[in-house]
Amino acid sequence: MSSFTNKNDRYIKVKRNISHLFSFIVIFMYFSFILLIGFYPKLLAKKIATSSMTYGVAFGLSIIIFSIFLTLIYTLLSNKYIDEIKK
Amino acid sequence: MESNFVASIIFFLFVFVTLAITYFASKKSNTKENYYAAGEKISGFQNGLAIAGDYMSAASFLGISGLVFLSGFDGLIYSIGFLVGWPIILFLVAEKLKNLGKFTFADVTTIRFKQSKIRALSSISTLITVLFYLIAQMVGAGSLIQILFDLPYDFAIWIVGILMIIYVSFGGMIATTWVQIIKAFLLIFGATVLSFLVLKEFSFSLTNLLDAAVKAHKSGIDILKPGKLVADPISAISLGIALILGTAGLPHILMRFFTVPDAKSARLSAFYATSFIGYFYLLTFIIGFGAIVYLSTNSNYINADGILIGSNNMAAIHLSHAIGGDIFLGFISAVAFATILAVVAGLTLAGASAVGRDLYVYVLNNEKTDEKRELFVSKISSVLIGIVAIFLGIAFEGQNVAFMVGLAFAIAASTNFPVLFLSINWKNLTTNGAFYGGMCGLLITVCLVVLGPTIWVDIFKFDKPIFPYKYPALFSVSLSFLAIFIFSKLDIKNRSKIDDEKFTKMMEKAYLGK
Repeated sequence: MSSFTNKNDRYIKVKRNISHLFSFIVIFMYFSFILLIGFYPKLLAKKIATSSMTYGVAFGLSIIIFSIFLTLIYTLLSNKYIDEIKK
Repeated sequence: MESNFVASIIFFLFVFVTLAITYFASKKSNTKENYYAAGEKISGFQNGLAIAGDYMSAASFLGISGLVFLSGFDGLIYSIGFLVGWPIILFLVAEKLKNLGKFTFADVTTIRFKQSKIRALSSISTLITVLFYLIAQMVGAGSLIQILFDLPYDFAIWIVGILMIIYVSFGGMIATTWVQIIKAFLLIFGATVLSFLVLKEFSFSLTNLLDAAVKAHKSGIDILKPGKLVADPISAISLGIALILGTAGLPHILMRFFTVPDAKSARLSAFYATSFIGYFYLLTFIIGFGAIVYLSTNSNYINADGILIGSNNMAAIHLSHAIGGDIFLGFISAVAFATILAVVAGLTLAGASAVGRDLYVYVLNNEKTDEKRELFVSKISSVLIGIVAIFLGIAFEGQNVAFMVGLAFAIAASTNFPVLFLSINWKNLTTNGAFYGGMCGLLITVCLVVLGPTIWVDIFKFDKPIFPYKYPALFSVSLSFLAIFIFSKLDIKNRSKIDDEKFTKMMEKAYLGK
């Protein structure tokens, strides 16, 4: 894909790299969770300190919160900064 | 009876307001732009709410909180799966969809290809996805309303079916969007109040709530550990793939991205949708654990065998009574009813557009038809789909329909998603590659589900499944990608026609807009 019109080459490249990077983070996070459940459930069953809270519950809830956070960062980056490169 | 009174008032208010909106929307639904895409006048925030309203079904509110009530941690696995598709939609499809398409996702997949073939494939897969999803919703709606309001099952199905036909056939996307926005607001508000009331009892500490739940539940600390639900790694991965890629291939969800004016608001829609849906799943987790504490030992809600009265899906409903009394129970019941209406309306509109636009205009009439006729066919289709849904909903009364949502997600993940993804990312994809490969994906998925434990054993009553896994997506998605790849490579005749120029131009448009 080399024949983009020059002026927007940079925009498309930046945009593509960022969306791939963000997707990779989410997929990596989610499948590490799923693979831990499948292969090492004991790790997730461990309690944090003395409370009932397990690593599994903490990890699971963090995935939800972190997903929201990532979409916020991506949307702000794209709408406020990366769109500016577009000619 | 006080709860029934409150529920009826809130429900009639909801119906009155949404019908009034439908009346005003019907005056505008005589153009394609308004009927399919609400004139592209929905803001990012509104669309985010509408997407959440479209996606958060009664199954996710009552089903997931019920699953958490029953097995704790395992319910969380499902809710995370249903959520993580959303960031992926934002990063990979949302803005490209908006930049390339107009009304249905087939507008995007057909840009480089022969219209009739690819539209035929996408309208078939859309209709199958929509119908299975609809039946599951209808059957759920019938039994829920039966329990909540003491109405006969058939009667409940007719109410849901007729209201959804009115919203969609008269009001099109404008009415559907507002039904979804109001529903999303009510559902999030109701779930927030319910969680607030639960957390208040535990001085707003999640660990205190979990401690109490561990004490109350008969499985004790095991409810905070991975359990039996996703026992082997293959099933776990397969379920994950179905949920992520399926979400990104659901036709009624993809269609929502055409209702906003530009790529910026498409991104905002996906961000708000992720936030609302994620927040909502955090609440269902609290609600499920609250239900463990308040219901597990209370003989008002548990029968002699230790099972929740009604079914496990009633956890959130019973909890609202246990913690907020009759009036709050009425409110939550009405919200559950409204929730169903918004989801079925979105599904029906997606199905009607697939028939009226993809099938009628592009496959049957070779694009030679006018706007008036196209809209007439779409509106009639919405009525027909509604009637089919009513009759199938009645026919499947009392059957186990849980596999149908799974099947809808699996087909969306193995047919719609691969074709959509490759058409905007892989230069060498050809018309025949997408068509035959996509068809393979569709057939493989249906076969694997039929031969798997959910249908072969649970419904046909054979001893052993021929295909051992409950969730086929890992296999069906890989095979679908492989089939599309092979058919595209074999398609020497067409390959030359698909020139770099067309792909490069499309890529530029996907990133830069019109």
